[in-house]
Amino acid sequence: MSKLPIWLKDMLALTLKRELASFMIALVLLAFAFIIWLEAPGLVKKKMWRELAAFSVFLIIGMALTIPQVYGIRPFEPNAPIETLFKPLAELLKKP
Amino acid sequence: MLEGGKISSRQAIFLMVSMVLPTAFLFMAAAIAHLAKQDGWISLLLAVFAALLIAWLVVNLSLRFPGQTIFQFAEVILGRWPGKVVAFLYIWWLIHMNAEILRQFGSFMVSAFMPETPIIVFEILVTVIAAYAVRNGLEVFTRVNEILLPIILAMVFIVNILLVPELNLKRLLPVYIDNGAVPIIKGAIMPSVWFGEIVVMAVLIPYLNKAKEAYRVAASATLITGSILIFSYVNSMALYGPEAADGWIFPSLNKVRIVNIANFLERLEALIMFVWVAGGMVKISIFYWAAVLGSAQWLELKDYKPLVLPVGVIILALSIMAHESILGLYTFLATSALPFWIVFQACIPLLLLIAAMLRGPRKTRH
Repeated sequence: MSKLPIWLKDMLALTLKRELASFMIALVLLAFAFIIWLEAPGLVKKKMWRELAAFSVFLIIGMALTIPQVYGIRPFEPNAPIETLFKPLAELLKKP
Repeated sequence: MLEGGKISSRQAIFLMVSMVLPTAFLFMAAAIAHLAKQDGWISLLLAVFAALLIAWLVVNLSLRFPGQTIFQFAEVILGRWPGKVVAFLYIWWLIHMNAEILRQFGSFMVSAFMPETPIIVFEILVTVIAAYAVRNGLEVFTRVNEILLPIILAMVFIVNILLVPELNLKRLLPVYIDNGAVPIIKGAIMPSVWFGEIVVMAVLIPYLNKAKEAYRVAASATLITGSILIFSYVNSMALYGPEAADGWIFPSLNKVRIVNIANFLERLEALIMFVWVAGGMVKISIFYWAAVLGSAQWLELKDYKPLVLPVGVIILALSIMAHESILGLYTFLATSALPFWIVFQACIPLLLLIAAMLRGPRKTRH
């Protein structure tokens, strides 16, 4: 392994990373499919359309937050607005 | 009604103690020690008073609207759409709070016990267990907690009592003179906010079988948690002295590593691990349940169970992307999170109470 040229090593590492990402994405999608399989048939059978709509919206938000993270992207910083808003107060609390 | 369960006052006290104690026990001591040094116990005492005020405020507000949670009575007080906005803010707060708690849970497991394991492993495990508990309803995790909490309290006491031979109470001196008032008050802010999680009572009160006893529930839960934390803080301080206690991220964990009785009774970290895993699971379940129930009431659904897993996914995703590392988490918890949480624990309930008082008794009660 150590005899290989650097560019080949990089390429191998990159491929491995991509393979890992596609494996992880398969796992994540499987998890989502499992959740849908658990909940959706019962809701359709009982004709609870409102509940089904709410379930789908929450699940889509969940997917939008989860899937980018598999590729190492943080969709947004949930705490950034809080940190900017309360910065002066936070600075006060840092020192005794 | 969405949630059919009813719990007794004693179960509610147990639930509220488990809700504050585990994370406060492990995460809070270092932050107080950083600000108030050996006078941290005065900060904790002040915090207990502040939390009693918050508890009084929330219970008084909730009891005006029997049978309704904060997500419903906000609409009664403010009218339909402003009420919906307030309820939405609370749902967001509960979800965000739960993401932070989940992150604390994972961070502790990773940094204290299993540094090679990815944090997501612990978070998925505990979320799945909590989701199962929440799907089964309030009564189920309340009863589980009734079994777990006495063991948790026993562990906390055992750990503190085994350390008695190592203590030196002179480390608590001088009282007040070294610090003055400002650091003590600053040190009181974090514990008041953590005790202020009692605001979840606004969701719980409709499910008490004797709602009239809610004042007693909130007050005794706060006093029990407060006295245990003061006991534990004085113990850490007398063990380490102010400088060393500030240096640890988890003073309560490191002090267990010091226990050594007759070269026989040592390495008791498992006790702390038990407190953390059991207590953390219950704590996460409570906030999870409140968030799911709130979402269902906000959308006026007939059942909250379909929302349990999707909300869990959102909480999990938020907890992973909230912070880079445990240091980011720690700084956030000790600084910017506090004013943000105070808004939800004291400011909005206070405004709602004033608005409710101005409007007077309403016909919409049932």
